[in-house]
Amino acid sequence: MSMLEISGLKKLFGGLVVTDNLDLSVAEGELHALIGPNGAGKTTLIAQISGSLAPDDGRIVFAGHEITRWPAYRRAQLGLSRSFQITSIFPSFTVLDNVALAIQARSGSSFRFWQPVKAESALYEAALEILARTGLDALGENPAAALGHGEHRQLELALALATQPKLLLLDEPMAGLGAEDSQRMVELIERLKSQYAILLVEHDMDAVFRLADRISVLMSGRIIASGSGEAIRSNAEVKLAYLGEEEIA
Amino acid sequence: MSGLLFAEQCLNGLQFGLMLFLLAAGLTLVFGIMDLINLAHGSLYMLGAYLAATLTQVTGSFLPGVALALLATALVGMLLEWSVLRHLYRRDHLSQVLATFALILIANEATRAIWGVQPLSFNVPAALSGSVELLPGLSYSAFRLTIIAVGLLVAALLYLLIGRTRIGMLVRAGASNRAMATAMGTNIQRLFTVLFGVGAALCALAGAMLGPLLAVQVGMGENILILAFVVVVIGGIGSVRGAFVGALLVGVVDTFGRAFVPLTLRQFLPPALADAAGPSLAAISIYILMILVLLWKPQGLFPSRA
Amino acid sequence: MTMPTGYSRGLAYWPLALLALALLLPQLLGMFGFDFYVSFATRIMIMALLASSLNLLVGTGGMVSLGHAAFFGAGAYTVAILAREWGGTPATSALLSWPLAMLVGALLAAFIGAICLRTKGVYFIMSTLAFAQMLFYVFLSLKSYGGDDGMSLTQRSTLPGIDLGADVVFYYVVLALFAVALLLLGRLDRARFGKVLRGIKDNELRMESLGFAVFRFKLVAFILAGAMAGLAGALMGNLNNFVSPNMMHWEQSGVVLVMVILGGLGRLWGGLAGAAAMLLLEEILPNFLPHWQILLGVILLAVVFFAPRGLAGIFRA
Repeated sequence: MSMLEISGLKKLFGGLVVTDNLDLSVAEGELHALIGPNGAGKTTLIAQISGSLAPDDGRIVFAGHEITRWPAYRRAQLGLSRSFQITSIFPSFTVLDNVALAIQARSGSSFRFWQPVKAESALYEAALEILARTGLDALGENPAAALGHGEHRQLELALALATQPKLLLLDEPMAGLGAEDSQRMVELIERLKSQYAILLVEHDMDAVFRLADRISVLMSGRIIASGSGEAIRSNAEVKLAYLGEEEIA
Repeated sequence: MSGLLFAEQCLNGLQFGLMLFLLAAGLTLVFGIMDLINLAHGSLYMLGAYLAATLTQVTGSFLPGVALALLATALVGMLLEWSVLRHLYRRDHLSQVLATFALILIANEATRAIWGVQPLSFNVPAALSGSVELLPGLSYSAFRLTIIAVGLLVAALLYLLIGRTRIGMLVRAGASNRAMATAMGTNIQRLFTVLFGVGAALCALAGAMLGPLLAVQVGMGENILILAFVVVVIGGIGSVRGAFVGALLVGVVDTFGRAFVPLTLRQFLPPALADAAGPSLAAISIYILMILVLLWKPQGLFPSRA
Repeated sequence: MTMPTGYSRGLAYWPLALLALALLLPQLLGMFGFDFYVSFATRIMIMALLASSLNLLVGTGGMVSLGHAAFFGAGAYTVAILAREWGGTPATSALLSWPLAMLVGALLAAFIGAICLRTKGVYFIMSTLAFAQMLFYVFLSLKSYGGDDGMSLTQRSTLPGIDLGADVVFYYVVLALFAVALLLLGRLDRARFGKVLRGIKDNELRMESLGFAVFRFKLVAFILAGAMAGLAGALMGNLNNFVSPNMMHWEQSGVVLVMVILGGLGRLWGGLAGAAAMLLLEEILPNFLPHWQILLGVILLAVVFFAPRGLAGIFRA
C-alpha cells in the first residue's frame, strides 16, 4: 500500500508549467529519492505536498485521505512531516525545547494555560529520546541559535522526527554540509529507513544512490524516469538530461 | 450645481492627495530601502511648516521663506540620519518605534520651547490669495491650484530622478532587494543620508504648502503621519509609484467623504444625527479603503518585493 | 554558554517583596502625607495591566498591534454606558459590569483579530490601527454618550460590602486583580500555550509544518489580551470617573506599545516596569524642568541604545 499517492498534479505560474501532470508515489517503508537539475520544479512540488502551495489540478492522497486542499498544519497532524532545505528551527529555544515543542504538536491539546511544560515529563523523555536518535543528546541545553551548521541540520531532522510522522519529506538534508557531516547525515537517514516512508529530495548523488530504494528524475515538472539506482544510472534520457553534470557518472 | 461641487471636490482631493504623496514618498523609500519605521517623519513635516512660517515672516516673502525652510529641514533630516537613525537600520522594528517615538517627544517639546504653545499664523501669500475662474461658474483658489502644480511638478521630478538616473537605479535596486543595496558598498551610507535629506525636504514642502490651509501647531505631524502610513501600505512598501496612486486615492476618498457623506446622510437621518455621524464616517472611509485594498492585495497595490 | 532550564530560587523572592511593598504602600504614603499618590499608584497598576496584556501579544506572540487601545476604550465605555443607562440598578455592580467589559473586549478582539491576523508584519500593524481608529471615530460621533467631550460617571461601580469609592479600597481591589492577572500570565507563559506563542514568534512557518493551527492560537491570544485590556479600561473608567474617545485613539495604543518595549518585550514584569517608569517620569520630570519631555525623549533613546532588552532585561543578567 502506498503511503503517498500523487496523481495528475499540475501547477502553473503565469504561463509557465512548473508541475506537469505529475504522478508519484511512496510506499510504506520505502525510501523514494527525487532528483533533478535546478529549476526542475522540486521546490514547488514539495510546497504542494506539504501544503504551502495549492496545485491547480490533480490529487494528493496521503495515508488514505485526500489532502489536496488541506492546510499545512492538518497534513502535519495526519503524519506528514517535513524538513527544510534552509534550516528552520526555533533560535530562541534550547535544543531540547525545540524538540519538546515539536512533540507537543502531536501529543494532546496545546490549549493548556496553567500546567508548566517542564512538569510534563513524558514530553521531555520523548524529546531526549529524539535527541539521542539524532546525535544531539550532548547539546540539549544549548540555545539553538548557537549551534554549528551541521548540528542545525541534525536539529532540523530531529524536529521532523519529533512529530510521530508516517512520511518524512526531506528537502536536501545534506545542503551545505562538509564531507564529515554529510557522512553522519547519511548514516542517520540509513537508520531511519524502513521505519518511515521517506521522500528524499537531494543533490548529493552518492547519498541518493546509497540510500534510495527507488529513484525518480524530475525534469521540467515531469517525472522522466523512475526505477532502481541501477536502472536510473543506465537510462539514456537521464544521461541526456544530466549531460555535462558529472555527479551521475 | 452639483457638477461644479463635484469638480471642486475633485480638485481638493487631488491637492490633498499630492501633498500626502510628498510625505509618503520619503516614508516609503526609507521603509523599503533602510527597513526603518520612522515615526518622526511627521515631525519633519511639522518642522518644515514652522520654519516656512517663520522664514516667510523674516524674509517678508513666501518663496525665499519656503526655499530656506526646505534647505534647513533637509539639513536637519540629514543630521538626524547621521546622529540617530542610521544606528537603527539593523535593529528590530520595535526598537525603531521606541526610538522614533522618543524623537517625536523631543521634536514636539523643542517646538513648544522655541515657538510657544499657540498655533503659528501662516497666511496664504497675497499674490495667490485670490481665485481663478477655471470654467464659467467654477472659481478655484489660486493657492490651491499652485499646490496642485507644485505637487505634480515634484512627482514628475521624482519620476525622472528614480527612473532615469544612477541614484534612482540604486534606490530602485535597494527597494526591491535590500541585501543587494547593502552589498553595493560604502557609497550606500552616503546615499542613505542624501535620500533622507530629500525625504525631509519633501516633508518640509508639504508642511509649507499645507501650513496656510491647516493650522501650524504642535501635533500636526502625528495626525498626518498616520495618513502617510496608510498611503504607504495601500501603495506597497518601497514603491514610489504606489505611494503616488495611494496618495491620490486617499486624498480623493478623504475629501469626498468629508464633502458628500454628511450631505448624503441628511437625506436619511435627522440633521443633528447626520451632522454628528457624517464627519466620523468620512474619517473612517480611508481606513475602510485601506482594509479593502489589503483584502484584495495583501502587499499593497504595487508590491516592490516579490 | 548554557541557558537555565529551571527558575533559580533567588528570583522567587523579589516578587513577594514587591507584593508586600504594594500592600503597605497606602500606609507608607499616608505616613508622609502623600495620600494623593494612592490614586497615582492605582493608575500605574491599571496601565501595567493594559501593557501586560499587550506584551502577551507583542512580546510573547510577536503580534505587534497598534490598536490595543480599542479594547481598553471599549471596556471603559461598557462600564460608563451601563452606569448611564441603568444607574442605580445591579448593572452598576462590578460583579456584572467588569466581566461584561471583559466580554466586550474579548468579542471585539475576536472580530478584529479574525480579520487582522490574516495579515503580517506592517500590514498587521496598520490594520489593527485602522480598526481602532474606526472605533475611535464611532465614539467621537456618539453625541448621546458625550461625543468628543467624553462622559462622566456619577460614581464608581459597586461591590457588595466594599466601598470602591474610597481610593485606598479601590487601590487594593486593583492590586488584587493585577496580581491575579500577572500570576495567570506567568503560568500561561510557561504552559503549553505560552510555548506555542513563543514558537510562533520565532518561526511561524515551522509551527504550521509541525502541525500547529497557528491562526487559532494567535486568535485565542488576541481574545485573551482583548479581555484583559477591557478590564483595564473598566478600571480606568472607574478610577477617573470619566471616559472619552481619546482612550482608544492610536496615540494611546502607541504609548502602551512604548511602555511594553521600554519595560521589556516578552518579560512577565515588562508591562509593570514600562508603565511605572513612563508614568513616574511624567510625574517627576515636570517638577525639575520646564521642557521635561525633551529629557523623557532622551531617556527613551538611551534605553534603545544602552538597554536593548528593556528595563526588565537589565535585572536579568
